[in-house]
Amino acid sequence: MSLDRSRPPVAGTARPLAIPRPDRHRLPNGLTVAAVRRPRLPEATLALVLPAGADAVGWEQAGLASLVAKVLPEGSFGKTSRDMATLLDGLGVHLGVAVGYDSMIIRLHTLSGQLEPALEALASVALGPDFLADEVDRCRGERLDAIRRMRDEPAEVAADVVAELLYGDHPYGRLTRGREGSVESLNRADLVEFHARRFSPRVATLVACGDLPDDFNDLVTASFGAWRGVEVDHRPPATVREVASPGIVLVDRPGSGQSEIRIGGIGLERGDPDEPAARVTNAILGGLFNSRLNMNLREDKGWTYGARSTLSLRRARGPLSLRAAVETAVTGAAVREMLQEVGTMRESLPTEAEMRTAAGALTRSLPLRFETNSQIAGTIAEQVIYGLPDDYWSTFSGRIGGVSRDSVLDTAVRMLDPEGLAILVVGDADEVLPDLGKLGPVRLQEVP
Amino acid sequence: MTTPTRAIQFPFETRQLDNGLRVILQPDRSSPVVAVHLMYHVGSKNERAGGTGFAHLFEHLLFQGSEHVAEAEHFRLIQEAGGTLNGSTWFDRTNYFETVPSHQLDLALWLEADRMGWFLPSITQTKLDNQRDVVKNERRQSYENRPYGLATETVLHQAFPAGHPYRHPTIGYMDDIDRANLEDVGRFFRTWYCPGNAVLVLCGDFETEDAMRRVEQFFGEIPRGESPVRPAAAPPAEGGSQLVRLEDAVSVPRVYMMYGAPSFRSTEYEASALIASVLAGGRSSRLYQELVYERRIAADVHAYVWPLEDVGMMWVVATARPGVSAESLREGVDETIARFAERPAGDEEVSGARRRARRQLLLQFESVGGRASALAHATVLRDEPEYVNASFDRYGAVQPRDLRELASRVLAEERRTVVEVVPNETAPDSKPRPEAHP
Repeated sequence: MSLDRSRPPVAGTARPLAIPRPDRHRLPNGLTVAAVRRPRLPEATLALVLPAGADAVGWEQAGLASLVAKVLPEGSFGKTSRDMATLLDGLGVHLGVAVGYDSMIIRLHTLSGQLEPALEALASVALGPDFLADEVDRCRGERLDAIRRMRDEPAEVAADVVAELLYGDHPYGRLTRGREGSVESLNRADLVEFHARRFSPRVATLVACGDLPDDFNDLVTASFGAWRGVEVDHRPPATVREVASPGIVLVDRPGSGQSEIRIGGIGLERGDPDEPAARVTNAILGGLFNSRLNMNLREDKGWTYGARSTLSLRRARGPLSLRAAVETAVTGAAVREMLQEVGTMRESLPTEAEMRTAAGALTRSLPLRFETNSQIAGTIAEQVIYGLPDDYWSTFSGRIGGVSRDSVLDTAVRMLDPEGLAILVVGDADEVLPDLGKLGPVRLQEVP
Repeated sequence: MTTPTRAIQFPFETRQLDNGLRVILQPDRSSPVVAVHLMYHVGSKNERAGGTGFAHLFEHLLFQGSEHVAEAEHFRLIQEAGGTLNGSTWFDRTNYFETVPSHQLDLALWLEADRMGWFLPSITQTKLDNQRDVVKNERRQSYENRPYGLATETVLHQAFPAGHPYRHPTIGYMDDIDRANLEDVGRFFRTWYCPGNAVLVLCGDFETEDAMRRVEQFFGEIPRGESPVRPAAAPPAEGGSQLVRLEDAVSVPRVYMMYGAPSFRSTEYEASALIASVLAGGRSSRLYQELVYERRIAADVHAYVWPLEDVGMMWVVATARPGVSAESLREGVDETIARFAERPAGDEEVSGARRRARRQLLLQFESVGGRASALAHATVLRDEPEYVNASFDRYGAVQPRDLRELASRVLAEERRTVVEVVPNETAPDSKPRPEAHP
């Protein structure tokens, strides 16, 4: 049979995707257990999801949730930091604590042969941290060192500065790791109080996915059953509607071979009726390789290794931000091109072809989101954090499919007000200022 | 209660097309996804003097379309189909890979076959110039404008003699990237990109014979070409060179140590990985406990081995806390490593390291993409796809005495190269300048 290579092959019929639904169980103390049994490999992922994210405290205490996360594994129920490390490393597990704005997730990956002691270790880390003064001091010192080291990284400086330009003194105005000033002020009592107020079985969910034994719920009861805690006030932070400090800001980094560019606006909150349209808008602007930003700055101009945009959907309105690291000499021109792409998104309808690519990438990729245990645990955690219904993913494609070209245009207008954008460059001021100044007044700012 | 870990077994078939293309098929119907992974046995070690970075630049060009695939279409078609894709280049190999919903298998095969068989007619000077600029920006972003970004290439330059294939970094040097021309592109493609120099791995939701028919259909008519003459395996690192100090725009020093170690092909490779794990693989590890917790002179410390074909490299990298000199940090690392020789890894330490290694293997094998990559590496670098299943048992079988014996050979100063990166004192705005490259 001869093959026509001149066009892409016609795809067969998609095999239906079985989206795993967890078995849910509630302990008498209120802890929700959501378990998906997938015994094909001898391993399991556990994730304890807690309403203890960085949005729980104000900017003065920025970095508190993150510091709590760092100290958690450093000694519990009288076991020293070294005991805990020896225990976890001896079991061969990986324990990591992820702090977002919306939540804290304590994740543990283990061989299933060690599941029972691993579960006990997870409970110990989460429920019984001693927050010994010496460990708190050491961890705070290490965190401060790390924050200071981040000043050497232009991309980290850009992330830190643009957060504040967008949100000012809102919790989203600081990175989750906080800043030198806020972290220096944190003390043991702050950590103890945060833990007491935010770690509670009434609002926590233990997600488990993988090779789980039949008596898994009994094991959870044995490890977590004695946990007691308070009611938690977990309202989202205030909604920000406008960029706190719009305009152009330059952070001087002498000798930089490249400039880090960030352009940001205020996007949407998770669950906003415009969320599907915003996802499509982002995919067209900069969410994919073939999006406008990358095709222009990388594939046409060769100015960068990559340009993209990110839509951060949080419990309150998160940012829509554009980013690229570009050769120093073209910094002004690159900012101009990025702003022009923003303008085009606001002024004209996307093409049918762009709509097809965006919708395809968002919806046909679902099978790839549910392949591994950690992916499945992650989507269940997401469902918990944002209160998504059980049919969220099975109806997702329909919502994206319902997005029209007009609604993309409207959503772009809503999120990307050209007068209200924060525009940040971290680069060599002597080199970039002349060109950048042609785009408008430039405020010079120090590395925080 | 802990129980022994059960064995794993991923069944696969190995075939070969008449044109020499080796095909590994590993069916797994548990998710409706399939990974297509094409690995060519060529990397930066096969570059000519003055042509560093070419294998990687060439990888970029292979995403610029082929005779039947228009520019930029490769990415668009895969992403629009809901798939993910990328390519990567390293010392020994270059790989191209897609994971797609399983009914899109033909799309991935068509794209990979087209650039294997019909690439050269589509390449133009404009595409080359554009991707040269992109790659130069990649070098700036990932190495030059990043703290400590030039340390690794400086270590390689110190560790290996002039002309050694592992002496230069895969990204290449700016001047060499500038020199690449269309003639090089044609020659490189004809030399290395023939079917007999590649392995195609399919992993995921398909039926073996049906998938094999599709592979035959898309790849079968690509001419065999001339198989490249492979250079002899490169000799190991010399080590023992003078310590190099590199100034950079950083606030604290970092020490890079590289020891000549068993290659990925060696029967001692797994033991070498476990040595790195006992040294710095967790918070209870030797280096972490002594340098970070007890003496508090390091902010972090890492140790790892690189799975390379000809030579092995074990890296120990430690970042100083503020106020600690590179010299004290280096001496601190040395003291801990010396104690490791005196008090070798015990049963508990090795048992934990074995579990961590096997757990990490499962994380990789869990996804079709990770498993396809492991099969491709095992086939190209070891000529042994069975290694993917065997590795799980081999890590499980490493004993403390294996580590002891190997550590005494590997962790020796005469096998080591050291580079210290220190804060820029002379001119705060100058970028690091490693010594002139050939």
